[in-house]
Amino acid sequence: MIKKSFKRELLFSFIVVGLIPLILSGLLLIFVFDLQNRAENLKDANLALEKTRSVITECLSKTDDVMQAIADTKNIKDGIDETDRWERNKVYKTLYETTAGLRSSAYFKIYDAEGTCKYSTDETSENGKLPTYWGVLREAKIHSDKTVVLKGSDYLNDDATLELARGIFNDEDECLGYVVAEITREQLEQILSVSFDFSSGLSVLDSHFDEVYASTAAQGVHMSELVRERIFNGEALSQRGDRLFIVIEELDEYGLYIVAGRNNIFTADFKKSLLLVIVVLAAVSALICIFVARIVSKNLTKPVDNLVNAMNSTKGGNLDVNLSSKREDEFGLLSDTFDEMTKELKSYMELQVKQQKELNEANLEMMQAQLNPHFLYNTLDTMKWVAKANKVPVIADLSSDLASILRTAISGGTFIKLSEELKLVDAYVNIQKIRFSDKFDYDVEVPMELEDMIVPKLIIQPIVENSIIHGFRDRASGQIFVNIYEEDGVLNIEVTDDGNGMTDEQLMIINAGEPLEDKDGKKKHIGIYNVSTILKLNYGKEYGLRAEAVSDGGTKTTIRIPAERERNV
Amino acid sequence: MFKRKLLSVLLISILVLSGCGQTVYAPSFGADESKKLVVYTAHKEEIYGPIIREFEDRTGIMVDVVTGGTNELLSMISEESDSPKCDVMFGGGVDSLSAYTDLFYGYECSVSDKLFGDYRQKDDKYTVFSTFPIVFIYNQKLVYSAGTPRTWHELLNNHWAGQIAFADPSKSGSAYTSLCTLIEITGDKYDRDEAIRLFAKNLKGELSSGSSKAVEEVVSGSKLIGITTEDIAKKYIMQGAQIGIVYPEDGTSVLPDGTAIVNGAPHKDNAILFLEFTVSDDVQNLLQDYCYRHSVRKDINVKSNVSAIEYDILWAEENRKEIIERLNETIGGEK
Repeated sequence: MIKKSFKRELLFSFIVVGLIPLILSGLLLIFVFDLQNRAENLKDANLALEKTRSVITECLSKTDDVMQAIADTKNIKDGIDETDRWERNKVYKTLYETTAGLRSSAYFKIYDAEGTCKYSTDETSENGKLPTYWGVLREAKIHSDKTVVLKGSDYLNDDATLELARGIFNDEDECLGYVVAEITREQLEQILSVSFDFSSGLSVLDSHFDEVYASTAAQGVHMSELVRERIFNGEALSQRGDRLFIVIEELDEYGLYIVAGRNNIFTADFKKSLLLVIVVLAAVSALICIFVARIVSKNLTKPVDNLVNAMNSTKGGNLDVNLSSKREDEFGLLSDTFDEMTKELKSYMELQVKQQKELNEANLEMMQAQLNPHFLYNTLDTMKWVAKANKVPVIADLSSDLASILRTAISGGTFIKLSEELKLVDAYVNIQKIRFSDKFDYDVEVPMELEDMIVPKLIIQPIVENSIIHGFRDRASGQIFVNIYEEDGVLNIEVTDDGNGMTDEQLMIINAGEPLEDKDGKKKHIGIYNVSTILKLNYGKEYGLRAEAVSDGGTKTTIRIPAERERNV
Repeated sequence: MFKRKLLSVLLISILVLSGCGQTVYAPSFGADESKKLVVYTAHKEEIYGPIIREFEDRTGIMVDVVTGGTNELLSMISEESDSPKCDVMFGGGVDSLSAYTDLFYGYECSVSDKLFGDYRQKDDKYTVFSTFPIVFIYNQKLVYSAGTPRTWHELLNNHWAGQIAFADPSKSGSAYTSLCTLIEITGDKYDRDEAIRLFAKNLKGELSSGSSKAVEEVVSGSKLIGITTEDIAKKYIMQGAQIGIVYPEDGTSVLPDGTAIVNGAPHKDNAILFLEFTVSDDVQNLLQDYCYRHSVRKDINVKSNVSAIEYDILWAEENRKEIIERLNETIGGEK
């Protein structure tokens, strides 16, 4: 069982690599953008502030100078209460001359000591009245040596956004009247238009942070109210997540504040949407990671699984397994090496078998060679001749038969024709007949076409020997019948005797291919065992020797080998 | 194990990064507490604007102004009574103020002897500020001068049915005062509920959302006549509206509005300064000269030819709920 799948590790690594850089860089981006945005806004706002400050200061100071000049002009001082038209024209002329250049940015009015407007560069307001105990005239009277600047008293005077007033005094410091400069909203906007663009917010506040002027953009977001509220409550002017980025500067010589606002695109909502984007991207990325991880790991585990299956198969003994991987990567290498390994293993096994067979054959040869001393053969030959010379034919027959047996046994090669083997058996039987004085009969039944079948040397003889020696022991006579036939490509050689037969136990042992042993552990009936072994080694388990009891008594031994006319050894 | 450590390090750094970058721009202007005042005002901007500003200029105290309808503001003050935010209630008819006297701090101003005494609160829980009569207005283009409304009694005839611009008394203090005035003056002929029913019938289910709106209806001609306060009418006339003012012949109420210091006001000293300012010479003169109102100062007030009735504030207060309910019932029926 796989406990720690590398698939999971793969997925984990994918996700780490896929998500973490994404999230980190996303957050970093937001952070950097936020900082950058702030810095830009701060810079722009301060720039706007600077420009506005210089523009307003310039305008107000020029106006102040003019008003000072007016307040000091004798002509005007004397002419305030003048009713004569001629004199009034002269006063107007002076007024207009002094205010030349500034009349586009303000209306100049002269009030008498009771607050009635006597002269005005504005078409409409002659004879308008202002309270002298209140507001700008009162201030002007109190601060007799300077020009006071106040937020326009728009309830009393619909148009004025900003009012400047200066008291006009005679040499005895009595108040003769007032000169007032009124700047309307349009005029103020015109003055300010030089310094900033109307897309950003700009407002001018008085010393109590009440709105004097606000650009349309500032009005739209209630910038002045917001500033005032925050200052009243002692809060920070610019707070996180604000739509507007606000800076303020004081013009203390005029008791005014300028406030510049820049649109903050980086609001809390915007940040939230960016974060949402990151989250969505991360989710998508995660999905892609999972998907890709699946594919990649499948691509990796498939060859591994194939290899494991092949190995299991090989474990079971199948060496013909061949992966034949078409891959050219490391897994391909693994598969190819495995294929080579099994091929090698197979050849090795085959070699082993071959070598074992060779060994067995050597053993066989050795065993068979035990039957082959040269000098015995020569001696027998000599014996035959001497016997013939001395006219003892039986000896000549015995030695001639023995020599014939040995001849076959000496000849090289482990296989001989069936006809030759039978000839050998005949010779053997002849000898045994002489020994046992014809006590038994021997018959062979063999079809002619089978006579050139190839059989291993000396396989029939031991069987027959066994029948003679053991089957006919203590018997008066016996019969041996050799029957040879072919059936389904198998050559059957049956040797049947009607002798003593063997016990069931012995039969079992023989059929099992084991050597028989007597009480002392010494091997008995070794010939049959040898034949059985020779057959098995040459032809394998399916062929060999089988012994069975004959119903009337006796033993039938059957040799089964493949019917071959040739044998490639 | 190592992998887990790596993960947690990464997570923490992410959090830290996102928290960073908090720069805050706070200039150091800000009034300190002793230089602050919070005013709730029911006045129109034309009235409170200049007064508050002049007060700021002269004293250097920064004022936070909260506007609203009289009853709305009084309810707010009542709700906040455990921890008051407001220092001064500026404006509101004395009939409304007298219903909430337990919210206020009794203070006798320095010129109390110079003020008209008829509406003086017995514990000085509020101080009168300005006064103005309730008048009729009519559209000069559509109403023949001989056919202008003359009396309150007239308003109960169906001659003016569907042509009367009137603010909702549950919202407008002056409208409620007008209604009570109507009931009182027509009290010789009709009892309370009858008067309300007849009047409501003539309104034909239409009430204006505010006293200024009522005037605008007359100015625009959607209604022929209206009931409002003199100062509002005069203001519109000064701006060129073609409406005329009629002072009701059967009398009218000239109810002052007032200023009150809230109990437990956070900036009580500044509140006192403000109250004193409201009855000072300059403010009272301004009211007369530029705000179309009448001063409550005997030494400043210009005599006017209005026949003022005695308005029973207590009665108006006690009956308020029922009166408004009756009116709404009948109005609802007419719709």
